[in-house]
Amino acid sequence: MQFNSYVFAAFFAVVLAGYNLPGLSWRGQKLWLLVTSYLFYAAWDPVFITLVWLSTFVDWTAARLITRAGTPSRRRGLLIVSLVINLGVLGYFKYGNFVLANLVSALHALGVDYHPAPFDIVLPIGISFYTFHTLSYTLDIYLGRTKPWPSFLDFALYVTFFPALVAGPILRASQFLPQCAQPRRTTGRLLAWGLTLVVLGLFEKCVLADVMLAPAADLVFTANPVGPADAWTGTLAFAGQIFCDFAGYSTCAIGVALCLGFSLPDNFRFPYAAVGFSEFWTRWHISLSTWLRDYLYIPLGGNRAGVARTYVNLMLTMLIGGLWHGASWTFVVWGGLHGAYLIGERLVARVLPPGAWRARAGTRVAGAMITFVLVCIAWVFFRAASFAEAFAILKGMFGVARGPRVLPLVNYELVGLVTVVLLATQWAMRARPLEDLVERTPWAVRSLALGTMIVAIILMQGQDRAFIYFQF
Amino acid sequence: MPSSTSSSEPRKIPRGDWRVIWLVTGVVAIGLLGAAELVTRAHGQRPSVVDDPISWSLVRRTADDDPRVVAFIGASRMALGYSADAFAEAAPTLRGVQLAIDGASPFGVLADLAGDEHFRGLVVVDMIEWEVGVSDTFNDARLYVSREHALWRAPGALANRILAGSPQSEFALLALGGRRLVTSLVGKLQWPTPSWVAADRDRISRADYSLAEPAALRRKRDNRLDTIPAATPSPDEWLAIIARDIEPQLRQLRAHGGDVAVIHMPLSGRLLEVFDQKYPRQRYWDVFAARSAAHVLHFRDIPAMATLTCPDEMHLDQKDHAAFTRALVGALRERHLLREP
Repeated sequence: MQFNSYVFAAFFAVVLAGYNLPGLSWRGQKLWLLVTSYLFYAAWDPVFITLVWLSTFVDWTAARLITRAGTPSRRRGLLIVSLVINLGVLGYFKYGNFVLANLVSALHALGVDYHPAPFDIVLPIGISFYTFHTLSYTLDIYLGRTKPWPSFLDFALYVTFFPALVAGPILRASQFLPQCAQPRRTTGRLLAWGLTLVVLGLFEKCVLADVMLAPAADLVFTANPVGPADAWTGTLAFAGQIFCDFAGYSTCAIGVALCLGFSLPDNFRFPYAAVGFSEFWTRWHISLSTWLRDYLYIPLGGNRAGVARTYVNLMLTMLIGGLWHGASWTFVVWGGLHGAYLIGERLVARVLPPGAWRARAGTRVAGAMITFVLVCIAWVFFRAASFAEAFAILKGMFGVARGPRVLPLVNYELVGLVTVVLLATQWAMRARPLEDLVERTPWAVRSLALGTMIVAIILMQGQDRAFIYFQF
Repeated sequence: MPSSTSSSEPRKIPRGDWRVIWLVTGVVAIGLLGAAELVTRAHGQRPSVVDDPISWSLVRRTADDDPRVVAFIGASRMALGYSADAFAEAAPTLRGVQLAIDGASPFGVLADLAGDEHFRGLVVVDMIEWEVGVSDTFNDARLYVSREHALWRAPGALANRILAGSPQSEFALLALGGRRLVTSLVGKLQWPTPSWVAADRDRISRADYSLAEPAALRRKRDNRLDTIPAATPSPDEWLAIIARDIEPQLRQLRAHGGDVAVIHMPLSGRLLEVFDQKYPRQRYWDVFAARSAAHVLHFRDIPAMATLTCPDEMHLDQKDHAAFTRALVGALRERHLLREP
């Protein structure tokens, strides 16, 4: 069920009404949220709800058994069982065809002609997200960072909480479960601000991403050869599209949860205003980058085992982060580029300490622009369906290839306008919370802005694009 | 974006009288939407319901085991030619079901109906020569047919389709299409020209070509002429493809009590000339008619149909779809294909 659908509007109205029924106990409210969360997931395909149940059961049981285990080896064994089941299910559904295709290619290279029947696998929506939810709980228990939560109902709700179920933010048990301890209700102020965030998120998704940017990216990324103007415009369009799409989803999720009295963590903090890649990853898909930091980079040794090992750990983390997004080598290259950027940034910092140049506004802006351009180059691999497609765009971007004009004039205007507004807004807001800006805005302007955004969302019907991160 | 860094901290809610803010927001939104609806209608746009595999599936389910069902399949020609009202008037004891899919050749749906052993009605197939032998002939409708076979696996999309039907059939502004609106406002500084096709909840489409810009029609016609393959299959090759791929479906459909009529829908102008030149009737269509297990009709043989003109050379205008449907019913009745009491 998508946030930008009629059925979600009806569903959410029913959820809110049931959740706030007079006399309903807190346990009853949580049970209601759990049942409606299952319905939310089953609305896409009822069959795959069983995988959510499996993940819930496995990690609930593993966490309890790990706590009770008498020996470190038994604890490790139980953790491995949980990892194998969770990552096995994720691997089968997400990477089955990818592994098979690579196996066939490898055998072909060795002279073996092997033609297996392709797996007929449908990727269950949101599997990467809820798998990371549940794994973080078991890993936290194993690492002694938290204790098993006493209520199965709360744990099941943590895994399945519908605002964050299919595309994040990736929740940690320590962030969510304590909120289940105290009764919550929808208040007028929570509802008002929550719905404001939903409108803002839908505007980003339906108007900016789907209508103004996506068509240009779609046209350019299916053309070959591509000239410089088209290549840059298509890439800028995708950079804006993926931000507005995913940040829009996260903002909606945070708003929907807030209407129910729950706080979800931020997932984006004006990432295109980042000066450098370390900062970029503290602003982009924050719940994933912190997950990878806590459960992959630091356990690998982080930066504690020397410079060379730090670089290896950074690269490994980013490569796996790339592969998390999708079963394709283009995603791995995207991750590898970000790994290289992070390593390059550390090398540059040795000869050009950031303290010196970051103090000046001009060099800060230049740093942000360089970061943005390099991020855009990496986006080419993220968006392209193949390396041939990616290299066609890159050749265009660097002036190596010329091609007939692909984009109608209006696309340059729309992409240019949205990109300039997006970058200027992100730069202006880079150190300020949105709430402060809203608080300082006169009420009439707030109403006018909200009303206009609602009208634009309704008028922009008809594109019918799923959120990009649903596929991950 | 929201600012809090930890979810266990309550989020900061900006101060202000949110009740007033949302009240005024509602007034602003309703006012602007009302104005947009008026402007949209003043420009000639009509409400139109989105057609997708789910709405097709819902209509497909009405093509049940009732022998009085007459299913119309084909591409946009049939979708724009068939009038449900005219059919109900001309054949009140029968049930017309519109299963044509815009942009898809009819054979995928034909195979679906042929494989449905419960189906005992009449299938009217819109077919033209160039669809035979196209590699995706059966795959065009795959999304639609596979969705219908597993409709229960998309309950959310089904509910959304049902809920969306009401506003889409009431408000013209929902038919504008966001991209069209934005590109027209930004690129041409004008409200978008209306789309000349509108559909209702039962998938009945109507084309009002008086709304179309002549230049746009010319462009569509020229593009269409460009897509006609330079090399056409020889009559023997063409007939062999039909015998291999299509005739088995026709026989299968008749074997479980159904029946089939294949009709060559009206074409006009340059497109008709090209067809006559590339697919001479006596060497292609008439040989197919003589050999086929289906009842085969050609618009030129039905006087009330032969005089109809397609404004874009390929599709009928809404002012003619009732005449077309009545003529079709008459032709089917003449051949005793309608199972009327």
